[in-house]
Amino acid sequence: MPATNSRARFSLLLVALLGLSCKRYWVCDEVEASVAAQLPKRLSETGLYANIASGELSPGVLAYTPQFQLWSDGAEKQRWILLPDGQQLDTNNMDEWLFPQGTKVWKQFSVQGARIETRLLEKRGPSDADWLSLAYVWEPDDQDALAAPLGAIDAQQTDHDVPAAGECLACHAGRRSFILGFSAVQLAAGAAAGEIDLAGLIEQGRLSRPPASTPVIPGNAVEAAALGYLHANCSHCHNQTRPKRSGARCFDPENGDDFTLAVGQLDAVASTPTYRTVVGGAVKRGDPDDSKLYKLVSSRGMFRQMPPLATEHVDTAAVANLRLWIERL
Amino acid sequence: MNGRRALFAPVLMFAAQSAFAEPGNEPGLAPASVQLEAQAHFGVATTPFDVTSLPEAKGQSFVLLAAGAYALSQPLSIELDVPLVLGSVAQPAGSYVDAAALGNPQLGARQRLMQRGSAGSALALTGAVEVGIPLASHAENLMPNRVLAIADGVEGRGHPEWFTPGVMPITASSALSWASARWTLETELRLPLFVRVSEADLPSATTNTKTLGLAAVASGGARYRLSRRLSLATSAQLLFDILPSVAHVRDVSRVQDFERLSLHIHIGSRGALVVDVQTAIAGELGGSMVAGGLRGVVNFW
Repeated sequence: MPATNSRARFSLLLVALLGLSCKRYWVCDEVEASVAAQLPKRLSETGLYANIASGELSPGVLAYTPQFQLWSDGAEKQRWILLPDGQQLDTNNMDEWLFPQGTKVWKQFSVQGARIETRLLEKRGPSDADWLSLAYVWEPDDQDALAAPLGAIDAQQTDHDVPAAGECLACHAGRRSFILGFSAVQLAAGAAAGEIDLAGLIEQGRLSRPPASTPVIPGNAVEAAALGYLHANCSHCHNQTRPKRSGARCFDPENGDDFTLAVGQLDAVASTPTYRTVVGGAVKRGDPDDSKLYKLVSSRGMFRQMPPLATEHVDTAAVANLRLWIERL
Repeated sequence: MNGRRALFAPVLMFAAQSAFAEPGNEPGLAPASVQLEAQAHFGVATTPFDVTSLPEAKGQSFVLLAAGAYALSQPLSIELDVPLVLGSVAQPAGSYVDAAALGNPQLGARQRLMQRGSAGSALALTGAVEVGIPLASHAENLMPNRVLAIADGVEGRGHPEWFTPGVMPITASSALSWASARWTLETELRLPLFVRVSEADLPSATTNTKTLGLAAVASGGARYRLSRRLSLATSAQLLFDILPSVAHVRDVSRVQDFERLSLHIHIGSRGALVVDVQTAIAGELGGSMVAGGLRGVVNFW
């Protein structure tokens, strides 16, 4: 929890007061306790591990790593997916893969080598609204993790915060596919040994309609890294294909910004929605210090940081790359 | 005890004799009169919350209070306070959830123990006992518990009897006030005792609730009448968290300061609208709380 000075607190009060007269983007609906209660109480019961003590994964569980990752204050992350036997992903829309009922996805966070939490997303029914989410916090003896529907602040004496069950929707509900890091663009780069990637999914016949070619991110290394960072950290909220949902606004920007890397729009940097958003006003070309986007990603504090959730520290390497990119625009 | 009386008496005498030409604010209520007060404070606060996985409650809240007093006789009045909180509670990752909660309504009696007046001033000492009806909201998701904790912070942790769920608070207090044409000085000591009646949905595995809890709140303030319509007031209070009703899960400052600056707009002879700005300098709330709002007071007789 970063220290906040009095001026920032006063600003917070003013913004909160002003926010009362409008639809506050930072407010989400609470997930009913009965919904989270549908998921197991212990991670060992979720189907990730055949033997949690040895770390042996259950049959069919596949490890994967997206090529562009959401910044999580430097936590190390591992990801796994379990697709129901013999079922395919609906990939008719290459940017919004739809997952079959029974899909489970886990993401595990470790800080300085110690496991802190493992998050589970499970599709319990056939519709897009049937995803359930829950985080499991590892016990101090590291033998199992317990369901934490309310989340946790500073879990295991680290500064890592575990989201409440309802908070998962703030990011994941911004995409119809719900699973943000398992897509054609994110799996295009090729996998490490023992992990699945786009080519592996095609080979296994898991995609209902394979892509015509493997997506390639346009631009040089600096441009590709900048586009990738903005895709992984911003596009789940800032996109133009966000599904309509009832209830609280919950981090719906309700503006025209789009930081998506879409499969059909990767011919050149200038073809991407991100470029159009950036030159449309999010940055001042050649001047990062006078660019709204740069200021937000390089600072922390409520109402003055991006992403607004789940981070208390600046991703300095990514910010340095963004600075270079803006200077060269 | 005799020594204390010997010290106290000259102070009272001095205050009573320091009279100005006209009384400014008659302490207490006339018989059969009614005083109604409505308060709406809004603020942000980060406060201790005694659940291991959620060691703080952070957010914004409206603290609404409806209060009334009825004078049964010249020295005795009965009082009722009903607190209600509407707020947004920060979740661990940074999103907010709106929540509402009822505090513990307080029913009490206030007795004037002493009153001395002269041509220009009045001095009064009162004693009061309030019993809280343990209706403060709580739920398994701890959302009402947390919004009450934030409200407690917005009020400088000075009224824990309003905002502590799962307890029946019994509060003894004594107040001394002195008023002249322009000045009103007040000081009060309150001792809320908490008797636990439920676990308030706090998770038993990671929370240690206590059968009894005790706090002390000492406050003092001064009000100066600028004109017929306006008064300026300042007050400060100190909370001493003597016996927490729930064991703290981390190192928490046991003393909390709270400061308030108020502008009173007198409306006729019966009412006043008060604009408050309040904050804390040190303790758990230092640098994390700022609040403000309105109070309206009307007397009927």
